[in-house]
Amino acid sequence: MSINVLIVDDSETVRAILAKTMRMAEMPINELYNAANGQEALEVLRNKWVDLVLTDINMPVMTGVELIERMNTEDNLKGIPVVVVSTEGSATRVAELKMKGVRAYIRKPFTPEQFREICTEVLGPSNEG
Amino acid sequence: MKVDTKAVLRDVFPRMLEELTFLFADNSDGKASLPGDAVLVNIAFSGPFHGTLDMSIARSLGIEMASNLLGLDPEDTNAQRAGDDALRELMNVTCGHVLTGIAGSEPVFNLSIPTVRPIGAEEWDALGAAADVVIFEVDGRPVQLCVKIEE
Repeated sequence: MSINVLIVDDSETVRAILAKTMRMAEMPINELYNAANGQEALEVLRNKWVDLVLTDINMPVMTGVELIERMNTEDNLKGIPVVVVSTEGSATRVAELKMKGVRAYIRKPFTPEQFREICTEVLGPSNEG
Repeated sequence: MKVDTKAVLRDVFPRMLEELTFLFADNSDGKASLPGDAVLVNIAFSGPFHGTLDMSIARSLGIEMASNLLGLDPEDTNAQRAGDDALRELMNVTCGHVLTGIAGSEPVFNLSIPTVRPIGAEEWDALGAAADVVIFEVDGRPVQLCVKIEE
């Protein structure tokens, strides 16, 4: 089954790298949406069907944490799996994110294999490519 | 706080550079001469302690990193445009791992969005002369890094 993925990062280059990583990991992507911050991500989520959100934390306008908090307040959005892709290594921060409902945390840098393993864990084996 | 930030940088930066951009960093002992396209990349952090991580580097290395990251020809206009983004991403990833190296994996730090701006000889030399600077050579070009922790 193919999935629709939303990548949220303020860097166009990082979004392109994540898209490339997903292709290298042979993930079954149907549509790939992009957003430069949490606010833009909410607009996409309210208008498109998204199966998985990959988000950075540190972004202008609306951070990844604020995005997750806003998603949790909207019935149509709160069930969408969110994976945080970030450079931060704080176990305390990761625990806080998981308390907010984040399904997984991928610390940069990572390999396509690590990326695929975590996404498969989040989405379930039926979404393997 | 007294931490050997130079040892942390010597450990973290070459790893992050290699894993993220597939480039290699060698330690350099001598004074680094100013590249014609020098930029200063800066990121600030705050948490149990606060400070900045500065990196002075040739802008053209950012283009090389972007071309490696995205699989593009360095002459490609997309790689040229993405060069500064690649430098910001390298700084972001390096800073996150440097903070873990200094403070361990429990404390929470907030990182600023990295900035990139051109610099001249005065700023290049000032960073090169800092007590805690670490100098690397990447693809024949110098890179100067320094963690500044404010008490």
